[in-house]
Amino acid sequence: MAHPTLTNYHTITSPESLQSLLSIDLTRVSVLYFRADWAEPCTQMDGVMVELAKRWNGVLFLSIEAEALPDISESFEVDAVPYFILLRGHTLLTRLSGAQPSVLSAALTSHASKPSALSSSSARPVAGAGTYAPQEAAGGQEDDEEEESEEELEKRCGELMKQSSVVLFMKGDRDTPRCGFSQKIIGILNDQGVEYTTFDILGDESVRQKLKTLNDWPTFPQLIIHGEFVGGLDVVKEMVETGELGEVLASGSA
Amino acid sequence: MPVSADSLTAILQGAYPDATHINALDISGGCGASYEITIVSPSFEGKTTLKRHREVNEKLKAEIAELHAFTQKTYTPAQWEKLNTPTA
Repeated sequence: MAHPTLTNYHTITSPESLQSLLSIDLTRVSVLYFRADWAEPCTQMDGVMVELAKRWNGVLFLSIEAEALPDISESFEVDAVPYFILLRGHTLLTRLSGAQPSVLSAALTSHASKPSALSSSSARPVAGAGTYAPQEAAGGQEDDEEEESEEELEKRCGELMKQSSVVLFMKGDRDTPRCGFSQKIIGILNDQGVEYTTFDILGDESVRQKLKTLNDWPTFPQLIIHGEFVGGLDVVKEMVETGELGEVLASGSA
Repeated sequence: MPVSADSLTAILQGAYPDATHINALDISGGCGASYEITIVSPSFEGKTTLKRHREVNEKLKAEIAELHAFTQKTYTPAQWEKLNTPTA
């Protein structure tokens, strides 16, 4: 796996090799990518990882076979693939479940582009050759972390809504819902045997606000099927009762 | 002013004159601020659940703003009959 020509993309073969790679530079940001061959979205993310590694050559990208290395997976509480853990040194920055290239990229932007306050220029990530190099402003640093425009945000939300045929925007994730309503809808979807991916709106305030206006619905959870908003908990409950949920699920699958 | 079950029912009867069943159930345990309403109306025919709920939310906008909790169930007469028929 990994990549023959990328020096910042490695395949982890043991807990020891992970430890030693992380310990080389404790200020460096690492992306741990937990994958498995049988999980189809991982094929897509393999490619995304290579692209990200090219762009963020100051960030360490580590590919980990989740099932071959259960000790590592368990220590990071990884229960699904693909799964991503962002670390600075050994410190957890964020975790992300599912194949969500745009979210992963946004997480890197927010964590890896900011030089730490203590060590100024040395901590600045070395950006890919000409592709994403932050311009060094004369006379000092500029925080040129780019604000996402309304248009970009809308586009990103659209992509998130289409990340799989059934997407649940919720508080928390399927194993640790952080709100009773989200928990109930997870229970319903699981009972119905629906396959779905989730997005934790608590981790992304701009997505949270945007989806409220985009879908004209003030609360979460919000269930999206085939890219279309279908409703919150009450609506979904009723759709199960009347059989509408099954119809909608079946409708766009062709 | 607290919202009463009767006032909710009255508003819904006005909004859905052809409804065959309207019920506002007080689920607040006494404080009168949580309701579960059920509406059975042929006017829901051909509308998605989402559309029905949006419609009811709109008609009860002022009242819902006063409540702590509000849930709704919206059925067509055919769906209602099916739900109330014990399955063999």
